[in-house]
Amino acid sequence: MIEMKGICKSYPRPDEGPLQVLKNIEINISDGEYVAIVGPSGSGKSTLMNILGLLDHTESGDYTLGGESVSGLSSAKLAKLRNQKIGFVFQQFHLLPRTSAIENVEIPLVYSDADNPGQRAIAALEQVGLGDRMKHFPEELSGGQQQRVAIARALVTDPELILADEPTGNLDKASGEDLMDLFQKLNDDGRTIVMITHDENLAKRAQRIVRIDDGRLSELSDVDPSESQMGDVV
Amino acid sequence: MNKKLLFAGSARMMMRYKMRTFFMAIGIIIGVTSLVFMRAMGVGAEQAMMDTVNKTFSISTINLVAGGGHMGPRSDGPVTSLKVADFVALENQVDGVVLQGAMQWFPGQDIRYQGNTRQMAVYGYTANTEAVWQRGVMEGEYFTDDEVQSASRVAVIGRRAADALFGEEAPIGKQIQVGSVPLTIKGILELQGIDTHGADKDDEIHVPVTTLMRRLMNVDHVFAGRIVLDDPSRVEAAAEQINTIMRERHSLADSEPPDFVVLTPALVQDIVSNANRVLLQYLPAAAGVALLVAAIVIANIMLIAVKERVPEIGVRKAVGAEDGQINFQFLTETVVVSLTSGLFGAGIGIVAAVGYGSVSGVPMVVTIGSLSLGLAAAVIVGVVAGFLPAKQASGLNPVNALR
Ligand SMILES: Nc1ncnc2c1ncn2[C@@H]1O[C@H](COP(=O)(O)OP(=O)(O)OP(=O)(O)O)[C@@H](O)[C@H]1O
Ligand SMILES: [Mg+2]
Repeated sequence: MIEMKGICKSYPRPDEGPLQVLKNIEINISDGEYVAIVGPSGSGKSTLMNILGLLDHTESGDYTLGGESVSGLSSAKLAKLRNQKIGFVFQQFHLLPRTSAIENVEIPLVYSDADNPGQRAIAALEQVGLGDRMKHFPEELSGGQQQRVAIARALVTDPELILADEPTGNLDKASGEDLMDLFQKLNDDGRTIVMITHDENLAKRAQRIVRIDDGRLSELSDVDPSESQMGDVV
Repeated sequence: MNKKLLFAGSARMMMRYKMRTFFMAIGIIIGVTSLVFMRAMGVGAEQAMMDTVNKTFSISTINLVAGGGHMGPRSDGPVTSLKVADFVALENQVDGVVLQGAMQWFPGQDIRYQGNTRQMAVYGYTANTEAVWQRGVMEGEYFTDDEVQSASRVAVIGRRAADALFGEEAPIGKQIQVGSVPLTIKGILELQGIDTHGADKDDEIHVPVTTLMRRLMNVDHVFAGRIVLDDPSRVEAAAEQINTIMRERHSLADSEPPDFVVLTPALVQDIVSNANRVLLQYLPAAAGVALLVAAIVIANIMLIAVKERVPEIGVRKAVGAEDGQINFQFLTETVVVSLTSGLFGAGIGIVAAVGYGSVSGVPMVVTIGSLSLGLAAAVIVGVVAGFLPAKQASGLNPVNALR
C-alpha cells in the first residue's frame, strides 16, 4: 500500500536555519495493515500524516502509494487520488455546520463521478451505526456521533486507506473505545488504517506501532509496548 | 465532478445562512427592480411619444416653423417673417403637395363665459385642420373656408376647457369672450390628451387663423404650418425645395442663417428619441450604481465567509476537491444568490411597473429585453463579486486550513 523512503520535510524559520521536522523517514505499510503512530507533541506526526495523505509536499524522498509513485504528480491528479484512495478523519471532526449528517457525508461525492450519491451516503452512515441520525445537524449530535459522521464521510468513496489524526482526542473514554471498535471493524473489512494517537491503550489495539521522535521514525512492534518506551509517549 | 450535488449545496448554503443571503441579495433586488421599473417607464414613454408623433405627424408631412434653429418663444421676440402667403406659394411650387395649413397661437389667454374665466391657449387654424393636423370635432362642426376667409368670430373648444367653462350647459351656439372679442362656439374638439411637450390638448380653443391674427393678436404673420405630400418618399426632396423657395421668398443671403425650421418626420423622431435618452439610458445607469454597490457588498460578505469557512475548504480539498473546483463552487454560490435575487428583482419590477402604470396612467412597458438586461446584470454582479473570494478560497493551503 505505502512505501516511503528518504522522506525529509523542513519549515523555514525567520532567524535560524530551517526546522527539520521529518528526517529521512522510511516506512512500508502493506495492504490491510493497522498501524498506530505515537510520539511526543511536535515530533512530526501530523506532518507525516499530511504527506501520507498527499496534502503536503516533501523536499526529498520517494513515496509510492498503491504501486504508483506520487512525486511529480499534478495537484489535480493528487486531488483525484485523495478522493478515490484516501479517507481522512480529524481530531476536530471538521463537519460543516448547519449541514445535515447525510449532506456532510455526500461532500466527497461532489468531487467524484460516482453514481447514486444519496444511496452511498446512507450506506456509509449505516456502516457507522448512524442510520437513524441522517437528517441531524452536527450541533444536534454528540462528539462520538459527530466523529462517526466524519468516518462515514471518509468511507463514502470506499477508499483503501484511512488516515486518522488523533480521532479520539476530543472524545471521552467511552466514546473513544466505541470508535476504536469501529476502526477495528473497518480493518477487519480489509481497509488499511494509519492512526495517530496519544493514548497507549488505544495504540495497543493496532497490529503495529511506530514511534516518531524529533522527526525520526522507529518501529515498536517487536518490543512489548506495555513496557518502558511507551511511558514517555503520553 | 457532480454538478447537481454542487448546485444543491450552493442553494442549501443560501437557505441556511439567511441573514448573509439577505444582505447579499438586497442590493441586487433593489438594483434589478429599479432597472426593470425605469426601463419600463422609458420604453413606455418612448412608445407613447412615438404614438403621438405618428398620430399627429404622419410620414408624408413636413412642418415649417418660424425662427432660426429652435422652436418656441425666443428671448429676442417672435420671428415675424413667416406668412400665410408662404404656404400658398409652397403649395403651388413644391412637387407633390396635396394640402397646406398655416397656424398661429396665442398662449395664456383669459377666456370668459358669463361669470367663469379660464386661461388657455388660443390656436388659429385653417378649415382643413382635420386633414392636415389629424384633428376634427367630436360634436358640432369645425369652421369652414368661408369663415376663415372672412375672419369670422367662431371657435371650436376642447372638451376639458368646455367642461370648465360651461359645466352642465351645452357649449355649442354659446358665446365666449376673448378680450373684447365675442366668439360663437361651433363644436367640440376630438379628445387628444397630453402632447409631447406636456400641454393638455383638450384644454385649448381653435379659431380661424385669420381671426386670431387680425382680431385677437393684431399681427400679419403665423407661427408655423404644415405641408402634406401625396407620397412619403417625396419628403426629403420636398424639404430641399422648401428650403430653397423660403430662402428666396425671405430674401436671405447665402451667408445668413434661415429664419425658419423645416421639420421632417425623421427629424422629429430623432428629436423625440433624443429627449428619451434620459429615461432610457441615464436612469437605468443609476440602477447600475446600485448594482455596483451590491457587488462591493457581496464581495465583502463572501470574503468574510471564506475566512469563516477555512476548515470547510480544507476538508473539501482533503476529500478530493481540485483548486479549480473550489473556485467554481464559490463562484457558483455567489451567482446562485445573485441570479435568484435578480429573478426576485425582475418580478418585483414587473409588479411595480404594471401596478404603477395602472394606478397613475403613466405608460409603462416591460420588455423581454429589459428583463434580460436585469438578469444579465445580476449574473455579472455575481461573477464580478465572487471572483476575488473564490480565488482566495481556492488558493488556501489545505494543511494550514485544517490545523
Ligand atoms: N506550517 C508550518 N510552519 C512552520 N512550522 C510548522 C508548520 N507546521 C508544523 N510545524 C512545526 O513542525 C513540527 C511538527 O509539527 P506536527 O504538527 O507534525 O507535530 P505533531 O507530532 O503532530 O504534534 P501534536 O502531537 O502536538 O499534534 C512542530 O514543531 C511544528 O511547530
Ligand atoms: Mg498533530
